[in-house]
Amino acid sequence: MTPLLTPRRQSVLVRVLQVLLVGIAAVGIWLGNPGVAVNAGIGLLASFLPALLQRNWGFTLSPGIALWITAAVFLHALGTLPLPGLNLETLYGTTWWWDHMTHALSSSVVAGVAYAVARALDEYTNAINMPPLFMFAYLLVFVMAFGVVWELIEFYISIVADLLGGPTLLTQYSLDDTVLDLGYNTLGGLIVALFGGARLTGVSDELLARLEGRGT
Amino acid sequence: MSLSLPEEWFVRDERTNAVLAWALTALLALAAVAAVLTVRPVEAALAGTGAVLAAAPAVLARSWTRTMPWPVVLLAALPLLLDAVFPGFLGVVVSGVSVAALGMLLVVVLGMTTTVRMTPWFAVVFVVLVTLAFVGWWVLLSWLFASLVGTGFLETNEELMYVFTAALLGGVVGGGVFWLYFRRQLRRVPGSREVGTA
Repeated sequence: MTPLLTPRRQSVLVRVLQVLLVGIAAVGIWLGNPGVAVNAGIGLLASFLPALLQRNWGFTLSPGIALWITAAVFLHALGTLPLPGLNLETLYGTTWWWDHMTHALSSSVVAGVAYAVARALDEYTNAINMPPLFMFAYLLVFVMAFGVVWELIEFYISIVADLLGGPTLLTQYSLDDTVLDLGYNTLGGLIVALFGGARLTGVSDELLARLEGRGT
Repeated sequence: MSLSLPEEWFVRDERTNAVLAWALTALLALAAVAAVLTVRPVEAALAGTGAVLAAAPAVLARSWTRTMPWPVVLLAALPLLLDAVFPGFLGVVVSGVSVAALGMLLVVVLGMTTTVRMTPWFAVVFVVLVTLAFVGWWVLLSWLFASLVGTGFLETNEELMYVFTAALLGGVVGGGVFWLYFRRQLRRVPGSREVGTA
């Protein structure tokens, strides 16, 4: 790793992105656009998850992982915001690869969680054993399954919003779009399955310590 | 309490069960051949996988009576054998249950042939995940196939969401059935084959 992104700078970057998320949420409220405000607001809450784990349970996630999560929610929120440079269109609307990028990025976070949990369980008990090849398959299965559930959530939220006459918070554009989402989710999962192992051992060791502390 | 999913919960050694299970396995193999001949790759893969998984315990143990419980094989074979009986939404729900059953056969065979081990609850979660992932990949591959070759595919996003909903229901029903079965087994043999550290 180049020393460009030191842990210190990663933490600073997380703060900067959080401030920007507050800004996006504020603009969303100012524009009277609940989709922008809600997506940025929920993203902001998610970006505080690492800090919350640290404060309440003493569970430390490295600054790099906090940055990874925050970047994923930030890029999603940014994509929903109408931008002056784009004739007040959103990045999701104008940039064909934005949706693919955010899907790959957020599903890599999902795969990361799946990996950390599975590896901790694997170490915790002899009754669960997941050799590397199985772990690889399990991650791809998990990411795809999560993607399907996510598309269902998007769909039913928009149905409920329709029924209640409320605004659209998450958008499903078309059949092709949904299928492509699944493809790019798989890509994100694949990246974690191939390269994520070494980066995530810290998290799963931490989880393992919790399980062992609670057990016996 | 940690307990690896015991092989005995799934592999029976009785003549009647073996005859029924083998009959269903043969039907699955036939269905696979028929699907290959009529160029239905998904059905062929499912039926073929089902036949191989159902035959695996007997082949591995070199004893024709060591087979999976026939109701589980039936569950896995049902939609493939009764393709026409359950059209539409219900068909996909039944297929979801069937994929879940295939997933459970896979877990059992993995336990026999590799070092993969799962606890019963982990196996239930895994089987539901497999069902959802299967439908996701199936959609992704058929979509790719349709756009390359120009074969038919679903028309609208709503149709796709109904397929996903049906698969989710099927997976949850399948997983739920196994969960109930495991709970019954656990009550019957408390603390049997205790492994693990906790």
